[in-house]
Amino acid sequence: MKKGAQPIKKRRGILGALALIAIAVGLYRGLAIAPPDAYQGQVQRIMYLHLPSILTAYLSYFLVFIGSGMYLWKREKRDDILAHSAAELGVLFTALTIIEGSIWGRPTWGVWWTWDARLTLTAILLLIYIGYLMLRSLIEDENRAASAAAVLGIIGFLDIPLIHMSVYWWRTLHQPPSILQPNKAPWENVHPSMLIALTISFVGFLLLYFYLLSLRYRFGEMRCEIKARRLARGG
Amino acid sequence: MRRLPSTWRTDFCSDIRLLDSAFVRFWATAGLILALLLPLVLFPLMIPVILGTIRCMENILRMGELGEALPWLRLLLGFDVIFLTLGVLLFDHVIES
Repeated sequence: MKKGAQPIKKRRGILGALALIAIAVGLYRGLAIAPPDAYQGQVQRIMYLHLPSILTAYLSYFLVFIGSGMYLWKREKRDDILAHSAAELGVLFTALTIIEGSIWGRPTWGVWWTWDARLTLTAILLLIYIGYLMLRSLIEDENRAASAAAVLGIIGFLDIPLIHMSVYWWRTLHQPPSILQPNKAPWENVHPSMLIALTISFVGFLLLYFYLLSLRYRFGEMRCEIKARRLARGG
Repeated sequence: MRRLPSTWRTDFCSDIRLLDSAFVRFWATAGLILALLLPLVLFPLMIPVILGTIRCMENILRMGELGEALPWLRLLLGFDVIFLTLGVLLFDHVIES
């Protein structure tokens, strides 16, 4: 075992514990303390999970973009591992968002799924990054897989605003953003305790995300090490 | 029902096995699966182009005003600019390997 492995492991454990605490506090504040929504009632409380998960997914795709760009530029294995890890987590959080959204949509709109702009956008994002993972797993040669995936990671991320616009002009049904509105400050639109719950929840999701990312990154490193050792032994 | 002669059974099984391994080899070596996958991977990325051309076409068919299709034309132009630039920038990095 490497010398620096122990403290990193410990730090990762602390990160995980913090994430657990923050999510628990966020859930408590969101489910018990914050008032129910004036129009939607209790159902709205799923927002405390829904919003953090989609924001985390976007952060993840941004990291895929960064990792891919760095890999193509410097050709270092760790950037590729970062991009791969972030892509997997991005798919996970996007899928979570869609599931949560369906659970919310059923009582609110009366349907599990509709081809509304934002839903479609999220589904397309999921498809892009599932394609990314498929591409990676199908190319045998590791370096080729990494560069092909890096191209897709860059293109996919830069395509998001375009897909966003096109899908929005196509059709829209989803409620407009209720917290960030151009003519009002955030705390004028929603009850402050809702905002607090949402913030704590978001911080919790971020901590959880980085915990999972560091685990997944370590996993990628280990896979590389095993491959290197196998090569060194000549088989 | 009478049992099939055992030679038939083995023949049948070996045929299946042969077919199976042929398929596996075919898929794995021909790179065909990658060729099939490419449109699947690219489809979600092409959505702005698909939607934009559909709307522009619709506008042409009902002989609408040019102004109505302008946002879509701009979107298509933006797509072209971004992907042309990316293509030029990324090409060298990808081909060298």
